[in-house]
Amino acid sequence: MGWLPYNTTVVLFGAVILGIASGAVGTLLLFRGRALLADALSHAALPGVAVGFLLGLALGVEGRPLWPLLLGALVAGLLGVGAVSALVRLPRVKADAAIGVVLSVFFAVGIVLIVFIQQTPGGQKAGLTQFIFGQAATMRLADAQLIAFIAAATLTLTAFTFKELRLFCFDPEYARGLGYSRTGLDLLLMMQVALLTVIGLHTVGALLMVALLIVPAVAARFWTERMGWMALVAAGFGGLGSGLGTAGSAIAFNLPTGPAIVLACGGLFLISLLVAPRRGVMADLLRRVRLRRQTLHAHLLRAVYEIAELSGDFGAPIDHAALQTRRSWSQRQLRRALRIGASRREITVDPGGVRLTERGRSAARRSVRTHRLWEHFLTTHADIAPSHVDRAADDIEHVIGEDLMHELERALLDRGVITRPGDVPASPHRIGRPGS
Amino acid sequence: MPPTATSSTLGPEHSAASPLSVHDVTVAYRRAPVLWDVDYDAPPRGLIGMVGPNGAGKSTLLKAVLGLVPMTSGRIEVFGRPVATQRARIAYVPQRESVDWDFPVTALDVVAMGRYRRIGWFRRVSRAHRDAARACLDQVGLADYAGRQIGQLSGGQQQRVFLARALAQEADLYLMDEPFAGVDASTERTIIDILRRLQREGKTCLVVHHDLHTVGEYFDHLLLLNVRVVAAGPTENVLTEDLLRKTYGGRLTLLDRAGAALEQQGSPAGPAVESSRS
Repeated sequence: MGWLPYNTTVVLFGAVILGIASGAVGTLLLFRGRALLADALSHAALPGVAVGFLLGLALGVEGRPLWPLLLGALVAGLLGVGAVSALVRLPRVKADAAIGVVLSVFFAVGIVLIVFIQQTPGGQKAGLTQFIFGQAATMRLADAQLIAFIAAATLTLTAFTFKELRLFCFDPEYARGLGYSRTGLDLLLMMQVALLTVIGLHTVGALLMVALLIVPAVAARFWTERMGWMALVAAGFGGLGSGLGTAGSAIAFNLPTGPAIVLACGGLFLISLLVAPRRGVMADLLRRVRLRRQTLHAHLLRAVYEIAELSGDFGAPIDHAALQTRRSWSQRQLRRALRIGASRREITVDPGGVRLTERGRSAARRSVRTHRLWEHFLTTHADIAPSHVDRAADDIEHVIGEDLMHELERALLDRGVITRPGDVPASPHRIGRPGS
Repeated sequence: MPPTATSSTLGPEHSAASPLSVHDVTVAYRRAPVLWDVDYDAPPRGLIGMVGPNGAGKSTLLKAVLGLVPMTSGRIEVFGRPVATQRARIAYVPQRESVDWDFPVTALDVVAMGRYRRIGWFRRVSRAHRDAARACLDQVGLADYAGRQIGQLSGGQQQRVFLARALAQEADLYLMDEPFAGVDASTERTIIDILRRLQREGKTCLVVHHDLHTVGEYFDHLLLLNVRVVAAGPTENVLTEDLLRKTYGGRLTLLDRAGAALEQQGSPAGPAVESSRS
């Protein structure tokens, strides 16, 4: 980053490490179900900023440093959390209501104090409104260094307590049974959240700080099934989003840093939601399309097989009309099914009709066998009328694995429904056009 | 109960050897007592079934032992000492529904949690501890599933993961909250085999159980609970129609089932059960 002035580099560095730590801590916060409490904490910190500023002024601290403001914010934020837990103890006050009250009242007090300070001589220069929406660009070098230091320290603490906090998030009662203190672990987590919130106030602002904690973590959930990896991915997203937002707000439109950072994180979330493998929307869509193709194909194979089974001649061509009546397909569906079958080289289509290839015949046999085993199972074990099992079996057979198949076969062998494993059993219902 | 037991020394009816002594424990949420004057001594090496209707306080009793719910009055000792000093000797199997199974951890991660107190703060799970956790997974027949995210396991497998986590604690007293609820036949077999093995190794297990058909077969001691202790003792003495009626109160359908179960077994937990099993 040689082309950036040193000051900007440090500010950016501070923002990135803040984002990294927030992503990691946010992962724990998310699973502890305390996102709203963290929101209350950051809103409640605002009046602390004003009080910290006034106290610094009263005590004559030189040069308007950031630390008295942050100290005030930390105290006020923790007071807010304390107020929530005190309110919840009252009868008939639910947690979300308590959070709503504390969050809004503390925030309102903060706004009142800041407006008051702005109207005093010299108050305008204090720039306290920056703590609402966040403004990283005006940060001084020493302040940026302080922020980076606290973020790094918090991140270290998170790394060293991750094992216990993860256990606590997963199964708090078991953790307590092991002898861990619930209050202790909750405090440990909320302390990390509070430290990050307080140092995030200047960069992200009281309004949106919770987003930097939560959004990267939610985005990371799409990419992994391991909590450790999730925290790392969230840390990466947080660092990236925070860095992009800070840089973006410095370059363009004089935008406050907070919204810019949250937009960047939101973008990362959207990308994750769409393209993540397995959990993403597109992967899910793809899976469904594949399953539908698979189903259509299996139905075609079964139709061909069963028509051939009736005539006893597996080599004879079968015309389209027979297939169409067999499954009540539209012309279009049939064409699609034939296209899929031909592309898999399991059927051949020529003017004489449709034939199974060698490969298609064994695939068809397998498919028919699964289907009929299921049908038998449903009639004998699940007590479904034979006339209804065909479609019920259709729903599930395409997702059956080998294991389940063997179990199914064993169950039916035990009952004497089928006699030999590997056979294609006879259909439990008359084969013909469904519904006819 | 005579008030002698409330002094700091053990009363005559409480033996120091008992793995679990519950002295006149009352637990109340808001006003209504969930447990009322529960007094119970678990026999050493006991495989104990805890039976009672919904809302009888079975889970609450386990949680009271673990210190998870505040007691209104009473005192609990484990191996003759306060629970807080004996945590390393107590393993807990909570109800399966108590956690979010979509949580991003693997089966092995969960089982390793049973060893966290041995591992200690600020340290990673070492290879030795991971191997120990893997061995516990193997004992419940899930060695091949170590790397699976827990949400991808079946209900029975999830229950076995919880059991393996408790085994990983290498405790002396096992408290299990409905380990048989909603599991498949093979899981039920696995769990009961492990319970019997624990008993052979000299451990004590207190197990909340719902199925009156199997309670006589699985447990050699019973604790019949309905807010108060209705009866406790060896299964052959306690599993009687009369005591079950007292435990389940007016709940007729359950009573009918209990009656049917008893009829099926010929006699309360008699030898007929033993022979039908082998």
